[in-house]
Amino acid sequence: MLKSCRQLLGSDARSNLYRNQNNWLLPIRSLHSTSVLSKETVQKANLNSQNDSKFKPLTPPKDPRNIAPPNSFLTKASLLFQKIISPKQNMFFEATSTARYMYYEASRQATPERDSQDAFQFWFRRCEVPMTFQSWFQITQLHLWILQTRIRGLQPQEKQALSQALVTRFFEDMEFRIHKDYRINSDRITGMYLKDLFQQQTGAIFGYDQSMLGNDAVLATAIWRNLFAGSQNVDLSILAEIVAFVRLNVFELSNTSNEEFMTRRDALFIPPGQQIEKVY
Amino acid sequence: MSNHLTRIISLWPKDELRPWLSFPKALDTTFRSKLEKLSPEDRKLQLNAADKLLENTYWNEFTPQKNVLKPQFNPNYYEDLKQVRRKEVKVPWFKRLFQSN
Repeated sequence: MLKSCRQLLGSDARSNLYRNQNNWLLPIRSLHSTSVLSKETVQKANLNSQNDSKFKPLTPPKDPRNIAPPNSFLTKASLLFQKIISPKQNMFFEATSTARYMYYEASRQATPERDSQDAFQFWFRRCEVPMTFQSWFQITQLHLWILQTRIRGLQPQEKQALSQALVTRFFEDMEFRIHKDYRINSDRITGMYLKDLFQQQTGAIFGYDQSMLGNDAVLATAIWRNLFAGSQNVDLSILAEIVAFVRLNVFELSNTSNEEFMTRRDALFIPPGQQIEKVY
Repeated sequence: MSNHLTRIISLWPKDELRPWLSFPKALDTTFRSKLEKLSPEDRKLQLNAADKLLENTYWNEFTPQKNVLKPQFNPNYYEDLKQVRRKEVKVPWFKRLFQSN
């Protein structure tokens, strides 16, 4: 009786995450028959519907927060006012705007629109990752971790402000996507999902941090555990490519100065499809 | 081929913090059967990729600078992670019943 109660209440759900082949968070409302993407984006991305028969592709929602903030006189005046009144808060305020751009760069890697064709083709065609919310989450998490390694090199106050702003932005966007793409309006269910996603995030960050001691195999296992959900279908060449991609990006970011890193707006990441002929 | 695979499995680092999941185990079972069905060229690709990962070629080529390896807020951040151990929490049965997880 106890065992069945435990299974009903889902205490084994966390361990089953790694065992199940079906990816987590399938679309609950499969009633919308038309795809979420427009016809133009489908043609541009050359999407093949064989792999994606069960899952509907995602679009990035039209979030006004993803657009650059307006450069009007009122915003400039308000910024000046805040600088005079509270210089300490200014750091946290500036961190949100930089975090917005950084998050936008990280989140668009797994979306078909905009100019992320190379990255999209690599993740969803070469790696054969299914187009689910879970996979999008893990890909953005990888990119945010790459940024986090560089953010830790800043001064402690700047690091705290930026990383906090990034995480809050990430979870805001996830809540937005769950509400809009999956049409889940109840806060109880979204809260449940977000708590689980936070646990996944801490586990992923810890797993990737373990690889910074100089071991590539540890990074490969962490990627296998998080991105590919510990599937039995292992492809070592793809893991090696992803490891090379991660190491390259961390190296390139570590060679940039603090000012350049905070002010850069375009091309934060080198996409993974480009072969590194020297090494692989 | 099988000797190469067994060598890779023996050299792969062990993960004590996650005993329910082991990458060498997956290599031993499904990857072995997958390799037998592949062509010899693809087989070489996979095994060479594993060799490169074990030799840390990508780390040696792209080692980050000290600003990343020794961050300012805690220079021993990555070395302290070695001392993390699993915590065994014993939850009694009447709490497990009403656990929402």
